[in-house]
Amino acid sequence: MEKAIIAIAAALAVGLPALATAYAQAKIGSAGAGTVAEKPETAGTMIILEAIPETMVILGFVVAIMLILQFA
Amino acid sequence: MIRKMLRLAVWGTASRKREIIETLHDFGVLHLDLQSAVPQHSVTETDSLRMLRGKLLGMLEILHWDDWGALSEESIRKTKERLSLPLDQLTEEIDKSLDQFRERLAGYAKRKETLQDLYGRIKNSREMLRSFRSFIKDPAQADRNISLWWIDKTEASKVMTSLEDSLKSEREGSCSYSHVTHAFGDNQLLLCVCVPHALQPLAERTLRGNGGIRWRAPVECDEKDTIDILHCIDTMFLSIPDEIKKINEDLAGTALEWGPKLASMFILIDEELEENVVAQRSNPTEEYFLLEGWIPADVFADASAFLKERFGASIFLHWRYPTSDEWQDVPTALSNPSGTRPYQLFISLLRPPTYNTFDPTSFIAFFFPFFAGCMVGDIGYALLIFVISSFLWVKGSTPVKKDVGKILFGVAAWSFLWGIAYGEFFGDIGHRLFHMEPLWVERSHAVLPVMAFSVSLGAAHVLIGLFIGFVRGLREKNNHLRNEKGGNILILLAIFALLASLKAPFSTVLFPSGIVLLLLGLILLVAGGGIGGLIEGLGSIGNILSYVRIAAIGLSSAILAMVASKFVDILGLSILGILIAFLIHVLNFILAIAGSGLHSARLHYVEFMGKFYDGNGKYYAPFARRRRTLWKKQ
Repeated sequence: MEKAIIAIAAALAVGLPALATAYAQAKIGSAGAGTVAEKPETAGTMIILEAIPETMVILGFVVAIMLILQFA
Repeated sequence: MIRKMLRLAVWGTASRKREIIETLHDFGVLHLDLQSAVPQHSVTETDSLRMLRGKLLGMLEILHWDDWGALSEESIRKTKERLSLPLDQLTEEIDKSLDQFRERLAGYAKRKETLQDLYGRIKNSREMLRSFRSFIKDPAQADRNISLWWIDKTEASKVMTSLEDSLKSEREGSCSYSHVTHAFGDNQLLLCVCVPHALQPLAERTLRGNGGIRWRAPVECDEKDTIDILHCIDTMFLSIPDEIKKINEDLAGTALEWGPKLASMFILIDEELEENVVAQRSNPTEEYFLLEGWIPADVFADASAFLKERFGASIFLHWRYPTSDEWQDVPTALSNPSGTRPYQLFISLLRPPTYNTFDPTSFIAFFFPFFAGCMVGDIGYALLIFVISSFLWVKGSTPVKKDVGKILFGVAAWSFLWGIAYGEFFGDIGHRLFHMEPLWVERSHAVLPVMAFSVSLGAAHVLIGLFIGFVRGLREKNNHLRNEKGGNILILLAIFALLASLKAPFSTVLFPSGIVLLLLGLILLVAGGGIGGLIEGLGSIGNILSYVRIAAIGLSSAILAMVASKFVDILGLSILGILIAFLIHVLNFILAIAGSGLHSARLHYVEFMGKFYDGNGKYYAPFARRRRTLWKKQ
């Protein structure tokens, strides 16, 4: 039972940030595509902006790993 | 690194103005500063050149000629030799010839458009008649009149009854007429009626009286007899594509013959236009003119010697170093050794650094492949990246592709080395087949050491960035920048000292040192950036933690590769097992390349360059003849 709860906690730790990241990237991606179409020189900035929300899911992944390693 | 620039003023005698401007155009090193200069002469000549250039480009568009890459410098030179008339006469002659040529082309284009339109209508008619084809061609209908009528679907039965009644009354009860119908859309019906010639007027009157509308063939096939119409439509349906093809061939032949000539002319006119604009803005008087701009210090000696030798006393050059007030206006030219030059690509995606600041290309050249390699960390994937990089490096059609190939080569090399450290060859296949053991750690098991290592890398990388920012503050005498970056460095060092004091044997020294550093750092931060400076300090800690992605992405890649091998374990050495394992490896490889590249780039752009990079510069764009591959973009 305890292991199951840890597994759920780990899944939530990575799943919820993944949803948030996906939402943010979708918004940034559509806005970025429009911006790059208008001003191709902003491509670099747009790539950076697109990659910024991924920090959430990566940190979530790290938390999930820590949970599993520490408690499972 | 950023090349040193000089402010150069070129004074020349008015009599040799065009010659001097042409030479500067050929030499292609002077970044002209025309903002302050005002056009002095009439712009009529410039306008006519612009119009001519537009016409030439329009002509090339009509011809669909796009082979700029095949245009040789030789053909441009030959065209220039042929066009040796004075500019005003030349413009007039070219303009006249272009008008004639355009008329010819417009004739072709119009004929093609007409044929395409006719073909569409013929195709529609043919489609409509498809259902009636056998009826019309039936020998039993010979010597009778066949006509087609649009009628409303809801009125169909009423129309048919009315037609039958009127024909019967005319022939006193006997009626020899036949018909076929076919529905088009929801409301329309096409009725094909066959009656003896004598009854045709009556049938026509009756059908018109009941709201029928006679179907008409395209005007080109408006024959009397429906069979003839059908024949005409069939013939045209076959002949029009041939005619269009012939026009296309003629146009392609014309494009092949005239495209390079027109393109050469376009390039020459464009260059002439550029020189004309420069000449107008050269602050001319009756005796002399002046051009000002920026020139890289490393080419100045050659340029100066060349100009002096060619123009002697007709030219006077005056140069000086830019003052600190002018740094914002000086164009930035980057110059790096051939090994690190491809990494300038990362800078080209941003606005260039301000003159006399710092070019981070050499740091990117080391850290980018290092981080990306750490994320991929697999000998097998490294070999695949090596193959791709070699292909791009050798076969790349553009300089950018070649640069990407060179960057990938660096990533492949570091991936290989990290692969040895982690003992991975397509995941755990190396271990299974060759008993490969990790030189350092197996990252799928030893997660925490790899994470700690990633964060340490991040700390070093961010500290380097802060240090560069601090040095920039010192050089530019910018107290705000210096204090803020210096404070950040001290706070980070204090945190490391305090963390180390928890376990290190000499904690009695480290702890108080850490506290002192922390206080000093906080004072500097507040002095440099106020409360915002404190937030900046917290941001630096967040930036360091962000480097944990190196371990996280590497771990996910390693686990995905192991999952691929698991499928072979479960399904055995079957085709299905191997296929699934292969597909997962392909997916993992794509993710590894994309993820490692993107995240490594992000770590540089946000975490590293965010500490010192000032992208407020403007690119060095010398007054030079552009390469022919770039003409298409104009």
